[in-house]
Amino acid sequence: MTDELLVSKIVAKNDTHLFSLLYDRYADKVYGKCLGFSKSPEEAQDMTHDVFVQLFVKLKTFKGKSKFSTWLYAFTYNFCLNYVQRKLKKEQEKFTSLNEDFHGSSAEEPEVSDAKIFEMKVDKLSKALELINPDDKAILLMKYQDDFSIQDIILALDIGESAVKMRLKRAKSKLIEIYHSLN
Amino acid sequence: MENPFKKIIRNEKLPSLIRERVLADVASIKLVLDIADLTMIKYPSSLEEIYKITKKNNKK
Repeated sequence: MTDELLVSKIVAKNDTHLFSLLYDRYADKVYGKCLGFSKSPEEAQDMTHDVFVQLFVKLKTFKGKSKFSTWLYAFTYNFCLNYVQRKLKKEQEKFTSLNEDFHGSSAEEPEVSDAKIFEMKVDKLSKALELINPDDKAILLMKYQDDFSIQDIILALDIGESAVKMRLKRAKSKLIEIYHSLN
Repeated sequence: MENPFKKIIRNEKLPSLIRERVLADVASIKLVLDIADLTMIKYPSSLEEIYKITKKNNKK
C-alpha cells in the first residue's frame, strides 16, 4: 500500500491500527532527524514521540501536494525548529548581544556553488552543522539531504520563492564560513 | 562528486518503548475525538431528527 493511500485510510476513520503501520515505516527516519536537533538520544526519543502524536492529529492537513515522505520530513523539521527555538529563547534573552553579532554577520554573502558544498569533508561538515543555527541547518538538510525541490521548501516553510532562495544562499555562506573556521 | 550530506544521515533504531507510548497516546486522542464527535455532532443531529419527526407527526 502506498503512503498516500495509507494516509487517506487513516484519516477516513482515525484508524490507529493503520497509523501504527505508518509509524513503523517512518519512526527511525524521523528519529534520525530529531537526533540532529537534540542534545541527547533521550531528548530525540521524546521529540519523535511528540512528532508522531501531533502527526496523528494533523494528518488530515496532508493534501498530497508533495510526496508524503517530503511532507512528513517538513513536518518534522518544523517541529524540531519550534522545539529548539523555544529552548533557545531563554538563552537568547541572556545573550542578546552575542546573537545580534551572529545574525549581523550575514549581510551580503557571495553565492556558494553546490560543488563547494560537495567538496566538504564529512567529519567537518557534521561539526559545522552542529554549530550553525537551527533554521539554516533545517533548510540545508531539506535541500541536500532530503532532496527537497524549491517548491517543496516553499510549502514546508510557508514562505515565498525569493525568500527560500535568499535563506538557502545565506545558509550556504554561513556553513562555508563555519566550516573554514574549524581546525 | 559525492554529496557529503548523504553520508551524515543517522540510521539509529528507535527503542520499542517509544512505539508503545506513541500508540497509547494516539489511542487516547482517538477516544477523545470519538467522544467529541458523538456528543457534539451525532447526538445533536439525532435529537434534531427526532424533533422533526415528532413535529411532523403532531401536525397529522
